[in-house]
Amino acid sequence: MVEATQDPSVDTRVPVTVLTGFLGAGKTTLLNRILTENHNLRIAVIENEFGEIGIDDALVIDAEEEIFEMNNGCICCTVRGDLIRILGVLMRRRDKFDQILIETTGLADPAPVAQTFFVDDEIKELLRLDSIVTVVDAKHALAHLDEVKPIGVENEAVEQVAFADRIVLNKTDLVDAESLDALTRRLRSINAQVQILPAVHADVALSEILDVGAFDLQRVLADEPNFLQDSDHQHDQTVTSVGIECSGDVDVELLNAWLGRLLVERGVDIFRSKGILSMAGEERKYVFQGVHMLFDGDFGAPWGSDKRLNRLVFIGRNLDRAELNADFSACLVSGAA
Amino acid sequence: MTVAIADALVDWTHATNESVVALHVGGLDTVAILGADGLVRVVDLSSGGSIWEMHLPEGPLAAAWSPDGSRLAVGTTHGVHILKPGVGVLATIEGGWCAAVAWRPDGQALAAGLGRRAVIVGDGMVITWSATVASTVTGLAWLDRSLAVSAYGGISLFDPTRDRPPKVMSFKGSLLVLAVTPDGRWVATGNQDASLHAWRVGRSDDELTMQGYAAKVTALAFSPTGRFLASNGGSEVTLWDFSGKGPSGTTPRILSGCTDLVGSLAWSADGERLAAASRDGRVVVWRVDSALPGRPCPATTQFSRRADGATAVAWVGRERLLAAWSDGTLALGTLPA
Repeated sequence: MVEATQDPSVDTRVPVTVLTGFLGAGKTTLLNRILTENHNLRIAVIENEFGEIGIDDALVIDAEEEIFEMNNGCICCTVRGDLIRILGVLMRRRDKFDQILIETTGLADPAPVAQTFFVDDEIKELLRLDSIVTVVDAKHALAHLDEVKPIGVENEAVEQVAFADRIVLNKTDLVDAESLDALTRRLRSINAQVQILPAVHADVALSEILDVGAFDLQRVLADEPNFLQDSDHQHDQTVTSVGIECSGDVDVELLNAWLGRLLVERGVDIFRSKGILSMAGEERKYVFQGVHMLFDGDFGAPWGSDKRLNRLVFIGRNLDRAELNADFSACLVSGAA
Repeated sequence: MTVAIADALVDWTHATNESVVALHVGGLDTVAILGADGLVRVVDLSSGGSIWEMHLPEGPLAAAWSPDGSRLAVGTTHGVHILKPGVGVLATIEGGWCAAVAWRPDGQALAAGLGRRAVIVGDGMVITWSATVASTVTGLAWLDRSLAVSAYGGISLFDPTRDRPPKVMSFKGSLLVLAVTPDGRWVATGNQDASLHAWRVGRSDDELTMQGYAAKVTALAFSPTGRFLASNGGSEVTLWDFSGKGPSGTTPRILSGCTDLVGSLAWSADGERLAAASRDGRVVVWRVDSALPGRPCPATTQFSRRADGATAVAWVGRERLLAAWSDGTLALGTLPA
């Protein structure tokens, strides 16, 4: 397990939690719980869906989703223009916020929301994407996940599960244990590493979903118990997770060439990627994460007494486990594997 | 009131409780200050004393004095207010994000962006014309009787007197700010993807993109003669020469002297000096005739510097310079030409 390292300059940026989930799954219930719970946090909410929140202490801003393509030669790099504008205005106010929540519509693609935090410098400086929390309705989720879409049309329910750092599996009281098991397996088959939090009336502990640091490089794969769990393919499922774990030291140039090629060629299909790598000749862990083609990597804590082990995860569409494994193995310093 | 200022050029200072987001010099030797939390205050330029103020219920995004200096239009996150200092609110028109307001040169009408709509508010304080563009309006400018509207995807040039589709100058990207030369020959935009784009009005084949900025371009200012376009987009200011055939293929003048993002730019009335406000707290001035293409030009004068970021800068005529900071301070100084 990686220990969170204490950066000398403590990160004072305001955490932003993205709340996704289908209409009726319980997003508004969760939001109301977050806002009414006694936590002494000053919270701003950006809503893309008109909900029924009426809390005096919180600032609620309605926004209409505007997806902008970036002119950076990356076809899947889209950002949310509405969020860039609103977050910029929020951050210059006198009353500083402790936490910002973005509630997306049930049909929203989480990628542009996440990518906004990678590409806009002003936002990166003042705010940090904390996690993507997806609320799933235990009773109706399977139907949404299995819904067959026309070719070229995304199944948003699958995407929202694939992008999630935390899944609030809501309304568990409405289904029997067997159905719940089946749904949990299905969720894991899409996103093997996600933490699933069962709930009734969205009653999860706020500490499980707020300020969890899911996009913190120093916590990459720190608390992901199902690391190597194989996705058990169901139906003609296209969105899956592939975990890679192996020893051996990585050749930095081979890795850069491979990851660069992979994200350019397959970035559209790779929703999220994360990894901790043992780089040849380096005492520290190399940690990275990506959303589609956008990639963020740095050296983390020293390996110390931990076993030097490479661990990578890709979540995406039409992933070929054998090919990813083979391509990664080819990045190891010869003879080390 | 007394506020510590690092510099001897300051004639007076003035304090507010809000981060100052914009300064608009009006008639009768006054300036309107806009605070991030809704403060609108008119200050006497000779003494620094407050003349009139009110608080809007939401944060301002844009403002403009009517040509006769009697009314102040303020765009906010919810709509546009037309204010008459000393009197109060003449009209409030809600309808969405208003980051652009522009009085028609005759002062008889105001153009405003309201979400995805561009509207014209006539003398009777009601909307007399409106048109919808593809995305939230980010800039407005009058070109004689035509109205240029910038948004994600391009500029639409409307003739509000005729019922016909706009001329569209398209650009794939998010346009953040719009500027027009005084003679109306050129329009330019600063963009989210760290670029500047310029069009020769009426010459659809004549357009150019300048790339290579360090950050998104959020401030543009044409010099009074229209020869130079000053742009931010990093810690430097880039000047493009629009004389003759325009800046295509030319090397810009680079003005240096700030260590963090420049956010606001202003030309002196004679066009000889440019002032910039930077997030590093500095307000600096360059004499433009000492800048040569391709060579970094250091600042001629550092007007003042505070610990908090400088947020706005404005000239009063040729020699008096106004600056404001995110700590709510405003300062005026005299810089002999």
